Amino acid sequence: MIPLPLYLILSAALFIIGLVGVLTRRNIVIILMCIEMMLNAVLINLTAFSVNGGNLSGQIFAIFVISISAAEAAVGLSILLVYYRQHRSVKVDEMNLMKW
Amino acid sequence: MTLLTFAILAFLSVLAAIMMITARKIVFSVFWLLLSFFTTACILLLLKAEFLAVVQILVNAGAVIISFLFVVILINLREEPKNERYHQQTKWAVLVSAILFVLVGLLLVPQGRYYTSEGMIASELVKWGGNSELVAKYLFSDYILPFEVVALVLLVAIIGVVVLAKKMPPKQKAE
Repeated sequence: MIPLPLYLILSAALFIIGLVGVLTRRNIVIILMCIEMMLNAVLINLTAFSVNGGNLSGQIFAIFVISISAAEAAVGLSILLVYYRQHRSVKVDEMNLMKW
Repeated sequence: MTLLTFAILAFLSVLAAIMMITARKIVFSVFWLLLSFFTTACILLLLKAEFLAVVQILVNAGAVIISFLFVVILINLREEPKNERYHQQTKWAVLVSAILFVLVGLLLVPQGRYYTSEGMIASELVKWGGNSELVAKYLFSDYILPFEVVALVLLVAIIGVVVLAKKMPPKQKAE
């Protein structure tokens, strides 16, 4: 039986790496993938607490997290495609349509 | 033995994550993300959450990765030179994230010691026969309302994607 803190450290590390990716990369596709990775870390965290805490609610919410992340990826990618169709660019710092 | 498996999986997962955010080409990034999803599924198997592991492989490693690959094909990206890959604030972002990692570790890891009992799930597993049965029992009794709400969210996402992906009529395009 693996102690719970190891899972927590792993999921925190994955989450932080995803956060670094979101903050540093300029390509929107990579940013969306990093968001997926952060949700993945949350998934590990929820399941580890659920199994070690003796309560199944964490796994149920992990299923909800998976479905919401799939919906998020689909909507985000289609917004990205529409943006690319108009501007021919996927650089996040060139997006300044709503900047005043 | 289990600890060794976990160590290998955790190493692979973190390696894949780091390679994903530093990869030169986006296609490589997608495949590193795929490796990360697979190792996550194996870690879920180690946690004896079999249903979640299968859902992880089907949905994340299957559908989400495929849609990312399709987008990479459609938008036809060239390889980016290094100064175009990262923002200027990279140093600060890494620094702040490292501090955040230490803080999260200090706050979260001591909490982990209080959760060591496996008793309730183990006894219910024996009663219901398996992880999937237990998940189904909770999902369709206690959590039926959130389940329906998530179904609605997915429906809205489908409709939204169809509306977004539709080509604009020529009248609007001319403006």
